[in-house]
Amino acid sequence: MIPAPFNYERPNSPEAALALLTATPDAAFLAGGHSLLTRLKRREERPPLVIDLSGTGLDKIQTTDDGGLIVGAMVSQAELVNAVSEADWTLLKNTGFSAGDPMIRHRGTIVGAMCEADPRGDWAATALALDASVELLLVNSGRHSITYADYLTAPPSEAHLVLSTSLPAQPKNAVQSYSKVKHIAVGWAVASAAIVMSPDHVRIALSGALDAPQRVPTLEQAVVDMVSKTPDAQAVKAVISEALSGLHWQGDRYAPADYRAHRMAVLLEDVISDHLKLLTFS
Amino acid sequence: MSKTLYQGEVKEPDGWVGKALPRMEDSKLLQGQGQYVDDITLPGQLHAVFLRSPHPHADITSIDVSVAESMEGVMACLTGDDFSNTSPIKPNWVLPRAIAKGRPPIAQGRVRYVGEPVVVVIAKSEALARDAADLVKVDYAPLPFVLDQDEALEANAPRLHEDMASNEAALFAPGNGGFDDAAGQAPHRFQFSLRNQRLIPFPIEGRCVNADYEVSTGRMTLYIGHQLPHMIRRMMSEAIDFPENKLRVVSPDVGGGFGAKMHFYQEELIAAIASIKLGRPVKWTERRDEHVAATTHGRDHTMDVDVAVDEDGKFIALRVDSRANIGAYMSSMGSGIPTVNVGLFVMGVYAIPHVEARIRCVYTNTTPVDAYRGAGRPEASYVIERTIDRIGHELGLDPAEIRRRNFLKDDELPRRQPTGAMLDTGRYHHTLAEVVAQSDYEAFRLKQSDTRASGRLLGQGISNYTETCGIGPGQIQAYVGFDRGGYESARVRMLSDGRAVVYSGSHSHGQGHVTTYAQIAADELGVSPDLIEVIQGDTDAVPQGIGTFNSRSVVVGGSAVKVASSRIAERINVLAAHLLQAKQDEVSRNGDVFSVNDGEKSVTLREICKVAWNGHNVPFDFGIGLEETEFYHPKSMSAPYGAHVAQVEIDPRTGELSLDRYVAVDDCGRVINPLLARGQVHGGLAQGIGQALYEDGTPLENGSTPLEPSIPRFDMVPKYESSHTVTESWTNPLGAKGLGEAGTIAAPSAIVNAAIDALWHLGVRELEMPLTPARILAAIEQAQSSGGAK
Repeated sequence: MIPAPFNYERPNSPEAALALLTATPDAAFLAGGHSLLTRLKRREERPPLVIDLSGTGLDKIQTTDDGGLIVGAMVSQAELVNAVSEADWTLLKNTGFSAGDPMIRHRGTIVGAMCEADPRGDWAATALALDASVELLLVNSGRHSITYADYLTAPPSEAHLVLSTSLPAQPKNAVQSYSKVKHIAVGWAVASAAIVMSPDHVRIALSGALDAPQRVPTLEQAVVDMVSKTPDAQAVKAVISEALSGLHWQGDRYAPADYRAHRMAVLLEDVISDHLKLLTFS
Repeated sequence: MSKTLYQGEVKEPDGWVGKALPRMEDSKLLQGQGQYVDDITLPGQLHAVFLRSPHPHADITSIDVSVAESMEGVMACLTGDDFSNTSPIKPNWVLPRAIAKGRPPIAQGRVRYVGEPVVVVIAKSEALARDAADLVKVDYAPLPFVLDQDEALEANAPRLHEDMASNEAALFAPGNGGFDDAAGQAPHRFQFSLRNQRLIPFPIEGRCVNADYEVSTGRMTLYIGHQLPHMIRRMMSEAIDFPENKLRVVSPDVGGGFGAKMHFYQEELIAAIASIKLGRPVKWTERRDEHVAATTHGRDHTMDVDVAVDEDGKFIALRVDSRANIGAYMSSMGSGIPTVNVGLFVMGVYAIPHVEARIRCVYTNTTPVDAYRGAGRPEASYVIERTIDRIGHELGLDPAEIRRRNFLKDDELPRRQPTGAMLDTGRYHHTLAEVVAQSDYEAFRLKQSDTRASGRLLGQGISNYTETCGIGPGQIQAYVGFDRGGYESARVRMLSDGRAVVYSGSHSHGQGHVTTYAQIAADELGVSPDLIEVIQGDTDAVPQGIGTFNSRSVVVGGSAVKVASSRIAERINVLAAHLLQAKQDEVSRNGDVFSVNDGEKSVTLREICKVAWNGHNVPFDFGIGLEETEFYHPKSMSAPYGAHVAQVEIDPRTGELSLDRYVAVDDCGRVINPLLARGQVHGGLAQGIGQALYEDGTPLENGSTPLEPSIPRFDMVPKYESSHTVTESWTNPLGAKGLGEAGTIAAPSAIVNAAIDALWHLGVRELEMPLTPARILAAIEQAQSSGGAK
């Protein structure tokens, strides 16, 4: 597996990295490389230049005054999972232990996974459920921050580099979880749900079965309405069925689209019912 | 689970055969010191990269290699035109009356499967060859194509080979007839269809070849990871009319083969021709995407079953009508595996008065299909073991009971089944009883019914597989068109220092010959296995042999080692008596010391060995040295068998199947090394479980092969419980039967039987492999929507 020839640069600042991209618009940024390197080896991508970000100083995790996190673009998934506390960041911990495998997590970056936003991936859904934002360095407009949800649906047309992601502190009384049905052989999600749920605030993001990882506002609202009411399995099932019905599903030979839709509904029934019980009795 | 490897009928022996010795070859391999073909880089090394067809069926309208050819360091770009005088590769097993269409070395104007070689670029580095291959332009005019064997048999199907009247390549119809009359009056008759999906053999090491033609001597060394070093030498020699005495095949460490590395492929043919043409060594190392497209696949066999039984569930008659997809060209054993290796075994271990099988081999626009671990026997075992379960369920009889009613009895063996399969020895009732006890089969039945009310879906399945192993004699192979010898060679040499070398014509691609052959020789020679070196895989070093397939390495190759070693032991005894000036029966041996009269005079093994080779004090009629060669040629094959039980639970909401327990009781006759035997069972089971639950190599709609094969990892298989009953074979001096393929053959039917056992009461009758959650859920829903169980 030998890639097509390419040039290689390892700039020492984000600005220098972006300047290289401006000079060679078809260049590719290399962070953890778990998507890019495979495509290079299979010659599915033939960038004239690979810009290695490992020297740009984007390898730090910062904690903000209010308890949020700023995670640099070169921070590996394993580093992040090891750095955060279980109590505050259950969702990150959960995701870390079900995404990929140890080798992938020790090289793969969370920001890279968010930029890739593979429909079957894990980190994009988790970032959506945590209400993440991303800090960008744009070639003309300089530094700029937008929500990750906006970044996914309407990324800037201007050449840019994602410097970091900001994860706001989560409500203290929230239940967090990442639940995943793994594609048995390849480890991707057949269906997965990242959930942050407090009595007055619910964020649910799904992956594995949809065109892209996404939040489901109708379901979030329906669940908010159910909190503090007597748990009712049939009602939960109904709101999930309603909320999922409008989504577009994809599949493969192992798990066709209709199966994934079904499997996602079952997964959500179980996890939402559990969380409602936890919130009711806490 | 007992912690010892000596359990049940496997007892710790006094000698070396039967001991659970750790593999002596592992230290090197685990330290990364193994040497595989890709590790061999020679002076002046050139590298080949293939450009392959992206179309399942197309005419090649133009090929432009001019830009690639002009690149610095590119030595040659060869196309079909350069090979127009080279014959297609001759299959090694051509069933009588089959129409053999071998692979052309490089496509001759038309491609017939995705992955077929179209152009080869040879350059000074692999990277350069790859870059140059990118610059070759090939234009295609796509043609209609057919991927499925049943569609390929339709009258208007696209024709693979225009000079054929249909896509049917071969027909095989074993059995004793009489089905219609017998079944017509039977009280019960069941008809259903089964499918063994296409699988892709996945050795850790892909294929690799390095052909080194030496201009000055006219000799060629072919380094190739291969199961049959002498066979590939002969096939290469025949294909390019190369003097066989100037051709050396070296097959160093081989990282798995599973049947896919015993054929003669285009890539080695081209590497050899290119090396002769360029006068330099030419290497090709397979990429994974090439592996799935260009290395042979396995199985892909659809079957219709018609079976008649009496009121007690005893067989009256069985008919199997099946179609095997053999791909675009007939590969090495492509017409033999799905016919002889399936047809002979469709009766399994049962008494069936009337049997008729009809098997058709069909050309399609897919990668050629050939032997894959089990090679036909998994398909046959699947037919009969699924069939007998089906009968049991239909009649309300427990699957264990229906088997007991139909087993061949111990004293009915040896027996040649009406299909032709020779069963040498077997205690089928006994082995089933063992697995029933070990798996807590009856307790599971109770638990199954107790939990059913709460909606849980538990099931258990049995597989009483059999096969025949240790292929030979050659006379039988000739009868079925299999152009390969049925013997195996061993040369054993005891050296002056009392140590020995065993040269074997068989070749390990993971089996552990270095350990097992040393154990066998050690018992005969009376020395410890660590004093015995085992050499294999070099045709200049080892005597003419055949190689490793059909679980024959112990049965045939091991017997050769035993016979040759025993002759040396006899020579040692003769020479000891001579040196002690005594009669042979007066000499006693204690370890390495031979003595007479309670130790009055003695001579050591080492002294004897030294004398044998310096020839200073040997009788003239004794000759020189301690070296014996045996070409062991069995008169009959052995029939290993076993009884496996799988226990599963299915989640009714998701269709997810959990394989909770797998209990294997295998009978491979005498066990040479229980540790290695366990390894063979475990590896085989992983691949059998892969077929049952995960893997599917069926081409995608565009004819390409899926690149992400769902081969099981260690975390996708349960903790196996495996043990043995021991019913020795009389077909060879070891009493052994072969084991390498057992798990692969047994597991698919055990697991599918278990899944159907869990779902039968809901109305589910058949499930297609692999049992994905989606398929199981769909089957449950379909059964419920059609009114559930009748």
